[in-house]
Amino acid sequence: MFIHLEDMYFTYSLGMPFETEVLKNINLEIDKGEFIGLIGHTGCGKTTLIQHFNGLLTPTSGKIYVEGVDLNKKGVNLKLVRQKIGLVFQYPENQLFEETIYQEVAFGPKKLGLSEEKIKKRVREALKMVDLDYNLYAERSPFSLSGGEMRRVALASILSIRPKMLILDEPTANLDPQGRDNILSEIKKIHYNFGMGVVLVSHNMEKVAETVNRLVVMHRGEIIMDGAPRDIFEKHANELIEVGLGLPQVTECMHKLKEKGKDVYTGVLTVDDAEREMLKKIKNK
Amino acid sequence: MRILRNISFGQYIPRDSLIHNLDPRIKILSCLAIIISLFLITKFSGYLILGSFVLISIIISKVHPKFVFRGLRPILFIIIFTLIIHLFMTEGEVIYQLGFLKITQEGLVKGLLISFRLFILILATSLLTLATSPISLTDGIERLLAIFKFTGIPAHEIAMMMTIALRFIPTLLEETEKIMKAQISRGADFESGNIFNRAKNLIPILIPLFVNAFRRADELAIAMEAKCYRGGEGRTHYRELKIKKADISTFVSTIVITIIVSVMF
Repeated sequence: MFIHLEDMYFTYSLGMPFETEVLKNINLEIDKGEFIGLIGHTGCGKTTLIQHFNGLLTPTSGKIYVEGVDLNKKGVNLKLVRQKIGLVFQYPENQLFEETIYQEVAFGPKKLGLSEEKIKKRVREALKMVDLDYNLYAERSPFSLSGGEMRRVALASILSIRPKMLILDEPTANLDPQGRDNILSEIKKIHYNFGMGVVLVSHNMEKVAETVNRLVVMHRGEIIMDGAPRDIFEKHANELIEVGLGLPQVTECMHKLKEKGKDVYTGVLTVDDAEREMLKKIKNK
Repeated sequence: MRILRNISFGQYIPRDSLIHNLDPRIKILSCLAIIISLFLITKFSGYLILGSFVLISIIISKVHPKFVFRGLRPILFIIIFTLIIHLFMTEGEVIYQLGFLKITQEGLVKGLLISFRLFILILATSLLTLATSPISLTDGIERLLAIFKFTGIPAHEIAMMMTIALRFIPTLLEETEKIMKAQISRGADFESGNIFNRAKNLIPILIPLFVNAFRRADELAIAMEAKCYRGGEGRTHYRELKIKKADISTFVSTIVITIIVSVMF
């Protein structure tokens, strides 16, 4: 088990007038190399939860283990944990600060104290992972790029640390459909080609559900569902609609068909899925 | 990161109390009167009276004293420092000697007086900002500065700048925290190393912060122009300030107390 959370609670501004309980009774196990979508409304505690994974926040009560190490024990080397878990914040392009893209991506490896040669190798590799050409981009200023490119550089600057698990907070926010698809397909590639575990945080079911292998749904600071996307869409569709998260459009379509008395499988994720399912039904007739 | 959370200065705590509902101009002027008299008082008894007046105001305001006293924390060092300087540096009758360091009677009295002065000063101003929303505070300042308009003071522009600055303090703090966390996740370290290294380590925070602040300022300027903002001329207010009975009685009692303590003590 890679990350393990046990009865975790978190309260913001403890003892202040604006005290709020953000996370309640969180129990979660994440294995190495999983591809997880963490879904929930804005303000349901997703971002707060992932900041616990690498020790940026300390729970009010409960335990967090990363590779068996208790993060809240005194003297734990959090730097080491942050090497294992790469956290990409929302709008990561707002953290760029170096003069060139090379230096930007090299920031993490440099802090690890690697040799110049190894750093160069890692920068090349990281830029390749996000589909940016080293020769074209390395010496350019990160501030001269488009929004989508800046985000990819920011992503590369985490990948160059070579984390075992990548956590992305709303990686597609504020991007146009093409930029969104590019980022998602790069994340998929990183997962399947390099075996890196990924947690994709989003408030939008639509694209995430068909990308990941496991969905964790949060509502008001609690985990209310956890399982394979197909199972969740088949069995918990009403609950999802109740908490206002809704279903992907195709899935909703299948549910409507079932309501009308057609015996179809409702756990579909993509239009292709739905097409196959319907063709099967028609042939069986 | 913990440092950022503990800043209470400028934080408004909404309550329904006499102090909260006072006209901001009255509150500012009363606070000013207290500050002036603090520098005129020369005896402990005067500070005692004025201090209890401020403490009673804190109780009336329904703001938990914890928050008011939290404002003292950052300047505690300054208070202790001035006390020590006065203790050892004032000439006079020696009451205690340790090597070349000597504490004098006069030094003790002077140091304590100045400590009390700073102490009450911070309490009074903290109460002002804790019990007055930033909007009404700048409203009050604008109206008070308008008196000096004939000297060419741009009262509205100053007030607008203050409103914007106050409005963005929490935003910038939040953003600093976010950038800090992001850079820590990338391997940055803000907690170890000597002072020069630490200063150098701040670059990954400062540059993004400035870039974003400039971008935000630009956007704000465009948004204001789109809403036809053109300065204070002919501008009306949603909230009109009116002096009520409670305002007059509070103001009169504050002035009377401060004059008495400044003249008699």
